Amino acid sequence: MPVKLPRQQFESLALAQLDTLYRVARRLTGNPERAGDLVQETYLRALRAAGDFELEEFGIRPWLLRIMHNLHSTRGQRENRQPRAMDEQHLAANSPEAPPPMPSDGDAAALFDSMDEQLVAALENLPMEYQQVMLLWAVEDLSYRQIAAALDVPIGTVMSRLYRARQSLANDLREYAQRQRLVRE
Amino acid sequence: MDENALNDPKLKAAVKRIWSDAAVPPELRARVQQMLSDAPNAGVAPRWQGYAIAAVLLIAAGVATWLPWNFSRNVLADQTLPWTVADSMVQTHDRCCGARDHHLLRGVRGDDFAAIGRRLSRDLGVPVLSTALPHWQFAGAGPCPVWGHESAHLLYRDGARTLSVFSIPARDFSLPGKDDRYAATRDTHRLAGFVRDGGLYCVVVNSPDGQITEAQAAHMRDQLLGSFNQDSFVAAAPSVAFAGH
Repeated sequence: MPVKLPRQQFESLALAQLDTLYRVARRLTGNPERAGDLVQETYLRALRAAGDFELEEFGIRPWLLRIMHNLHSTRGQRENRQPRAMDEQHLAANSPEAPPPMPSDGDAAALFDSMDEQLVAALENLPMEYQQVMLLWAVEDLSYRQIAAALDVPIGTVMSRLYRARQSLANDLREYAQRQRLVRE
Repeated sequence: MDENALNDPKLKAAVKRIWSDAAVPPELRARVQQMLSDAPNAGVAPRWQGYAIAAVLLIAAGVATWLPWNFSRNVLADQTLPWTVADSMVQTHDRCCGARDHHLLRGVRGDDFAAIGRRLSRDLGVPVLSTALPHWQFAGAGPCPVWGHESAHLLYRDGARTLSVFSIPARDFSLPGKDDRYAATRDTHRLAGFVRDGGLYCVVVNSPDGQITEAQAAHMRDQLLGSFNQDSFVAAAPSVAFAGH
């Protein structure tokens, strides 16, 4: 059931999300200064809308993240620098009812565990949409439903992006390992 | 739906290792904290609250305009001194406290409160409260403006503390009937007054240390009211003691 928050509690909960918002903003902007601007603008928008905010099932974090994403998206459109478009047909094929299977090879898991340096580069190579889902899932520990709420996308899209991100990372790392003869062909 | 279907603890741990080190710059944290703490006036209220606040402000402005001119209708039976009158008395009090010497009346001895009262009363047409106050040093008396009208103003000092006694024709402010008592607070100033026989009489006391309470000011007002003597245009010295004496 939605709950209206007292002002002080709203401020406290919102401030507790500063680290998360900054990390996400860093991913979105790739620049500390622009990230700081985005965070401040997000809080400003949140404060303006605070009277209409209702504490729902997922808490305040997805709500703030959604504000940030909308803001960033609007800025991107304004600056004519939209993020790369997703393959919507492909996303639609991966509906929530039919989540894609995860690779079951143990090699990929071992790679993730031992190749941080290469993983950094592989992560940076991911499309921004994938990076966002990966960040919210891995670092912020959001559930798929929370990520879907934060990004305002269907949960199937979250699962698809996460699957493809993992697949892309595994491929990059495997190629590297093969070049370095760390794993069998 | 099984939310663990796509789980991969090793990938999760690796990404967390790599991406969780982006620390919020201290100056950004400070700015956000400041923004949140300053926000009460920055539009946190929902839309309907904004309308409500606007409505309240509109009503308050109407009342503020209407109040001084309609006080005689005794609507404010809670005896709050009209803010326009209170503010004006505080301004006059502060201005006179800053003067090198308060308007000492020519030809009238500084300790002859009966003579001071008579002189000022003659000009105002109402009795003037003029008396020595225990523990307070008399600092002067004279006609001084209060909200555009002339008043009799007696000033007293006690170290950093200052005290004024105002006598003002009540007709100038359309105040209600006799024996009504008023009180107000403006910053460190305490005001307490009463209406008697066509005059508004008010004590304004300012204590920078904030140790004089509104209740103590009201007590002094009541002492002055009890000793008020219309025939001689002076009040007998009240037995008033403020905190700290």
